[in-house]
Amino acid sequence: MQRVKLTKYNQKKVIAEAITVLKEGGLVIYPTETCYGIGADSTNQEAIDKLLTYKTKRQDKPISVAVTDAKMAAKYVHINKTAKNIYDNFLPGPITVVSKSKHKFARGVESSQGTQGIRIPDHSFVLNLVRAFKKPITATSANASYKKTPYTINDIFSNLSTKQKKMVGLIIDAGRLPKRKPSTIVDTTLDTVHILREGGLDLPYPKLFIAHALEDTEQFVEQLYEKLGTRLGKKTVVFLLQGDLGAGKTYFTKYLAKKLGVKDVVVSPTFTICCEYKGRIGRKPITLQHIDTYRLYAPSEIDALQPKEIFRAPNVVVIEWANKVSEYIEPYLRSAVVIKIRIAAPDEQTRHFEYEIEK
Amino acid sequence: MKLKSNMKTITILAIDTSCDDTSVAVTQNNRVLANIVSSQIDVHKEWGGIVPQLARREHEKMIDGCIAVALKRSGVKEMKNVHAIAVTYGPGLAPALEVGVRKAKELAQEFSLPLIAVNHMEGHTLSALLKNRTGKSYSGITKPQFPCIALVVSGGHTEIVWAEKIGEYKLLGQTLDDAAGEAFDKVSRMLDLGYPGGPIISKLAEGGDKHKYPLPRPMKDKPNFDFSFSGLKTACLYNTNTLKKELGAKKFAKIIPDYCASFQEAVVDVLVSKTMRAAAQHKPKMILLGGGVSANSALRKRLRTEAKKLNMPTYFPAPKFSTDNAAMIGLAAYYKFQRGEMLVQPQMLDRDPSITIETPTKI
Repeated sequence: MQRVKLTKYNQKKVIAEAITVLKEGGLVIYPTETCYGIGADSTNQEAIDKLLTYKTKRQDKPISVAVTDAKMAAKYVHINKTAKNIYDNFLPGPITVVSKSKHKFARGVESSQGTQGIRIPDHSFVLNLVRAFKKPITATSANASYKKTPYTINDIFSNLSTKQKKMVGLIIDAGRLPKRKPSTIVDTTLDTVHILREGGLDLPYPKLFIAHALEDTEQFVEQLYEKLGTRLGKKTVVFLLQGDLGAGKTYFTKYLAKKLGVKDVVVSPTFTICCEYKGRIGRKPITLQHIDTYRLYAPSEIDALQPKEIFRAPNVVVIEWANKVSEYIEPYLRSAVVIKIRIAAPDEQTRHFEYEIEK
Repeated sequence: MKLKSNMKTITILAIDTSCDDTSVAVTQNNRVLANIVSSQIDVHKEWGGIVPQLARREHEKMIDGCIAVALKRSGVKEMKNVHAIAVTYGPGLAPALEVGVRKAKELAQEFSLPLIAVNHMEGHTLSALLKNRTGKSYSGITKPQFPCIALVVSGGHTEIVWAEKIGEYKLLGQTLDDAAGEAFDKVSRMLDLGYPGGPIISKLAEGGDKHKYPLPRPMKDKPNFDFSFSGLKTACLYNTNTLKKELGAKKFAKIIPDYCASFQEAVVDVLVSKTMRAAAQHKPKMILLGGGVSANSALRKRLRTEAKKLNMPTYFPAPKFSTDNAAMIGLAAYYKFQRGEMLVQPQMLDRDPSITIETPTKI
């Protein structure tokens, strides 16, 4: 095992050393813009097997790889419109883009569904290294599985066995890296961006949450709640729901009400059009307004519901069949935080929540 | 005018604007002298007004006309012959409730009458106790016996209520998502049958085979008395989509009576079996039915048959008192009047859209 200190002046020399190790099927620990990563030749089966032993207990978790640009990525994965959008706008950067693989990697790199996560790290040293190596190298974090995210070489080594340490061919030490969250992992194989892991970067796209059962809706509500953070309880927060009969609009509201500490049973507001519930955010009492425009004859009738009261901050408002009244409620949404949610039901159990938080 | 609770004949003008309909009734004790529902009469002809629609504006346009027609038809003629004003203050649609509450307060003040605030759900619970002008019971009830159980089923509610006596209620169970009436409406929409769905589906079901399409009975076997109709709705959605694809539009149209009967059977089965289980466990002296869905003949028939097995009398309101109406509000108000539950500060009354049958009486 060799250890070199990366400085402003020795980049070329370090890259040459790293390439020697990679070509021999060895492992290289290197810095990225998020944390320390461990690189292996992603097309070399021996190298990947070694990496998998090093990481321990991986089960079926796939391994992302680092490339230099979209052109290089396109040799290894199918880049569709959704993915292209992210490559064009956000890379290089702390995002792992998952696409359908062209199956040119060693076994254990791709996911069991045949997809592959691609990284273009926003780190000139890594980009130069991959460019010189001319093949993707693995871009998984350098820690063993389920251990601390490494920002210093010491973070890695304090958790490694002697055997593991011996497996590493080269350590490129760039000192203490700034603590940044790991990359955001996005699945682009569907038409909508589907976030598989939340990371440091929040993408300004409609996102997808997949619920495999009704109860998964609760996790979706938790995620939204966390994202809204302190805006809840301060501003009016409006959820605009779209989705067919039986899509689960009322059940979304039920779980939201639960999170807001509502004690009453939240039922479908189709008949009464507007239901009011008392809840709280932290200790602050708030009102949850649950509106269903299904039975409105004309969208202008929303005026009769006293929208000024309904949209008063810090109320939380849920509107089912929101598109029907979008024009009429627009003035009330100007100072509110708006979350648009489109619910699709591909089968009786599964629900796709496509959502977008505005502002 | 000072009134005593022991007066023999109490004439009440009752107002209900809890949802779509503006309704005004004049009652005398438990007898209905007039019951006007805006969507059911041609107010336009008798007084002048417009086609009723949803919320506040529409109630505002209708209410004076309904009051005038109710007074005229009841034979009471003038406000000076009325002893008290009653009004629904919840549950319901806030802006709609407000119109009734405001009007009731105005009348109470203008004519110095006591004001009684009534819970809409109590009205539905007691609706089978109404009598006509000559004192004949619509439901055939001679002497109401308590404690009793009421199954209240409408577009907005599905509840099993325990009435220890008139004025003392406990909720034994309720829907956790969609109301039964709502399921009728939504399934009717899936089948492109129109609105409101209840009467249409019930009519088509008459000629259908209720065992043809076995549909789920959500929560039927859970030991509690709560309901869930959202799952049935979703099951129907997938089921009808599949059938439409398999059969094609023409053949699908032919199975609609069978489908309606099967769907209705699922709803009735859950409603009745839960009610009977509640009855077996709590042993009431009678079972009452109320709410818009109580007009459904399959529900009535099954409830009667099953209750007979437990030797329990069942009473149903006349269809016109199943749906929202002010007569039942006048009736509930009459009992409140007897108990002296008039509002102490009538001008402070405010609508409360989210009360339940268990909310303590407003005085």
